[in-house]
Amino acid sequence: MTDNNSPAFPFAFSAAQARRRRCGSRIALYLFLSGAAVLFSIPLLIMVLTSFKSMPEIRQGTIFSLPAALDLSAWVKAWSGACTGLACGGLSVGFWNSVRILVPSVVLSILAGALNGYALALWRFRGAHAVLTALMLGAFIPYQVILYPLVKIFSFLHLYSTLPGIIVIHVVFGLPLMTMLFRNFYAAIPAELVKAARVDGAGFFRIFFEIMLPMSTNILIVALILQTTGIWNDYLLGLIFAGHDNQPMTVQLNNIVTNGTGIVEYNVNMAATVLTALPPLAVYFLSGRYFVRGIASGAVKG
Amino acid sequence: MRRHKTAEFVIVPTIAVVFICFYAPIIWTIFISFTRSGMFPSYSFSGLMQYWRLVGTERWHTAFLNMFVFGVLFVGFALILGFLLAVALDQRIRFEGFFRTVLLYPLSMSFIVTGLAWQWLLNPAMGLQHLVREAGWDNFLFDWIIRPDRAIYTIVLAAVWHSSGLVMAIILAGLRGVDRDIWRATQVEGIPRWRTYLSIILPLLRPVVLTCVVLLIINVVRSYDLVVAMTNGGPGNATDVPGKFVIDMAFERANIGQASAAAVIMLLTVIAAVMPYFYLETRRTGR
Amino acid sequence: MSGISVQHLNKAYASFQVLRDIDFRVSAGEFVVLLGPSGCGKSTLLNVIAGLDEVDSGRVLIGDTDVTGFEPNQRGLAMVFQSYALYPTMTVRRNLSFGLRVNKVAKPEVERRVAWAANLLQLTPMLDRLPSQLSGGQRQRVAIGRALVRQVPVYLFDEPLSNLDARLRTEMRVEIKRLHQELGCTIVYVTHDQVEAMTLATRIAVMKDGKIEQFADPATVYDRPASLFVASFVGSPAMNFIEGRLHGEAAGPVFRSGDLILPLEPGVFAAPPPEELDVVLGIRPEDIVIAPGAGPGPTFSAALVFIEPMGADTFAWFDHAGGRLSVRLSPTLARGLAGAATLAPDLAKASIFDAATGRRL
Repeated sequence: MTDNNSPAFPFAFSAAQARRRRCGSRIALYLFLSGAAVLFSIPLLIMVLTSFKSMPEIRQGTIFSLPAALDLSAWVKAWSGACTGLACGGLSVGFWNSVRILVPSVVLSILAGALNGYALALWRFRGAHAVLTALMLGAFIPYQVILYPLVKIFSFLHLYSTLPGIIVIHVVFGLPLMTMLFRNFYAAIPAELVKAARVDGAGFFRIFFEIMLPMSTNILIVALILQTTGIWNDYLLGLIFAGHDNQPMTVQLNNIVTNGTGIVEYNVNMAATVLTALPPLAVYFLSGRYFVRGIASGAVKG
Repeated sequence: MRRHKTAEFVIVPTIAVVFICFYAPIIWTIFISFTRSGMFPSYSFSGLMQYWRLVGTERWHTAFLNMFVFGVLFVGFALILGFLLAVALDQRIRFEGFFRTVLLYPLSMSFIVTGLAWQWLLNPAMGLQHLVREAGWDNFLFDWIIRPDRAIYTIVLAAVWHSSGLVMAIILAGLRGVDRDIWRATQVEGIPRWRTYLSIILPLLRPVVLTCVVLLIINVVRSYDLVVAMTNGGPGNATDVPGKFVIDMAFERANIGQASAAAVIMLLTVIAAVMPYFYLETRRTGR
Repeated sequence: MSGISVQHLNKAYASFQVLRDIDFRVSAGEFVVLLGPSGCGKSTLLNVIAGLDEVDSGRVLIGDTDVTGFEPNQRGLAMVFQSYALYPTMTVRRNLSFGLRVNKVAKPEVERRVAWAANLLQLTPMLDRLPSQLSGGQRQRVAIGRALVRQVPVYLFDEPLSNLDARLRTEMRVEIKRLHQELGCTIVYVTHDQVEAMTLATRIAVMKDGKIEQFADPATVYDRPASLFVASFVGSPAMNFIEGRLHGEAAGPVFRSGDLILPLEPGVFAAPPPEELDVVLGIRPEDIVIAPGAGPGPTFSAALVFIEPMGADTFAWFDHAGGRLSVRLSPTLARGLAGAATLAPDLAKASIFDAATGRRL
């Protein structure tokens, strides 16, 4: 509503005055937003610019100077030749590790969360509230408080430093948020739907798979986005639980950039950084409003 | 009854997992913090010994203090910036989708990527300082990332860049939920728009703002990745935080007792920060 | 075909007693309406019969089988819900057939029954649509159809018409009545709408605070309400109440309230009345006439307060000794009304309630 800015007593101002004031505040508004947008995009911009330059270019120019030519060698090296310590397999190793961790973790954590949320929201039983509270408080625990004992438990189960181990860890740490997300979604579904299905003779799992899951497309997408970006971006859990052979991309990236010996190749570092950021960025740009809904619902409940 | 058994059957593993993976470890950590544990867990009780030792550790002082400096500045700036951006986006502007996308993209990146990007941007020899000097200001100085007394502020900067989009998105969703009649009413009464935001909308959005604060605080207490990527706690220990202190103690310095005591203090910090929120939440829903 | 027998049901949520010793029998082919205000336990009772809620004590029999511990689908019943509870991701056809498919009915039989129900409820053209593409009345018919295809002896309806607008509600009421007469099934129907109860039921169970206040056919519930609550809940405007005292006199019992003295007919009492008692006299608006002069029976005068024209009828509200009395009149008669009038109650149709217990005498 453009006339929201008009004064309460129009007769106190001339129409022209009012319009000028409104116009001025609109310009200020756009200036503020554009300024913020520019400042927010700078880090990504210089990362990309740097990744296309050669090392001499980087030394001579500034961070904002444009690359002379589209030099892809830094990208190639980052992907397939960058070193972490002695191994020089490039980031591709970490990328595939991350994919191997990501896919089962996302699928299992969403399935577990959906099933839990459904059971808690639509099937009343003793202690449901206590379970919910325990889960919700779990979302607030700083990882650092429980990591060491978890390592002990996982090595006892022979899961420490294994692929299944890191997957289980992601599923466990995803449980509070995923359960809350689905519980809140299913709590908004009329209980009569379950009653009707029960009168029709359907059981717990049949109702879940034939009636509830088909209704949950939106929330499934939100969960998919949350878990994909969350698990891909994880560093701490991967560092501690994945083990050397399964290091996810973030861990490998940090090793490449910070443990580099000899000359620091900024272009390779930045190419590697952009590569690691690309999958979640792609998810973000492709999913748009679902991402916003995801962080909003994840945030409010979590 | 049989039908409820299936639901319980599904929930029981969850209860078991939550207990084994969340609550039992917390209890274990609290217990260990009162023992003589060093490299290996020991079960001989030693009272508050670990805590006294922690209090006497220079590095812990820095880390603990940093958590508050970082926390206050980060939460404050992210809230103010996020709120202003949300209000600006709520003025029926053109290209709202574009602005929202640009302002929110940092949130999709990991703290590791964020830290590395800002490390590069703030690199005195190559980054921003170099850029401004090349542009003519030869004496321009912006080397905070390598100055022990300033480095923590660069982490605040990167964190604000990363997370103010989150505040913006949550508050914008809240603004969109405000009853349109409130705007009509204030218009009729001739209350200036900024005044309406400050005196009516902001109090109305208190629960939303509170949610943001809690989320940001949890990120502050947990913070580890960003510090590791940006400064790795340096220069020296200048940007150390409790989250990093605990991990280093537990997994590099092999001092479980100290790690546990520090972890318990982290836990208490979270509880202290989240308690008022839960109190308000339950009071609100209880009414 | 089977009836339902509900025996001594009790149920409490924490300390709140929802059902108190509910005990009644529904004969095969009957249409029983559970009527009451919200929170009276009528929906809980229906859920208990359906097997969706457990009870603390008591039994439910359908036919001759004790089904108390049975799953809903083992009880041989189908149910229609207030929100319709259609499965949103399934087409009308799949909604209708879901229960049959779950219960492994043979495919040709499923198709036959779906076609039958769709035909009966004029749903055939929209079989392949989703519930979100239907109007409220159509959804309602799908919900009924989903119950009908099951072809069970007992149907339960939980306030099925309360989400419809007034016109559709009337239409669907007629529809449900027609279905009951055609199929001859046993129906238990929950509502808070007395018009639905009066028009549909063969018998009405009026409930209050988890108890059944009266269980009788509609005419009896209306003419001879068993308690003050039933009298005030059924009928609109509600029955008029005058507080007073009952005196046994030589000529028979007399009701006194201030200056008002009304001799009562013995026929209004179920049992011989006591000599002296504080009572409430109830009389329906249509059982009072405005007398032009002194008539044969007792009369009294009252001041006119206002007139409420309703179309076919007009209600005139009078003030009598501080209380309000409504009288039902024809619109033409109402036009000449002003100031005060002489009212002649038809005391043969009066109800007398014990003021202390609220029960009918």
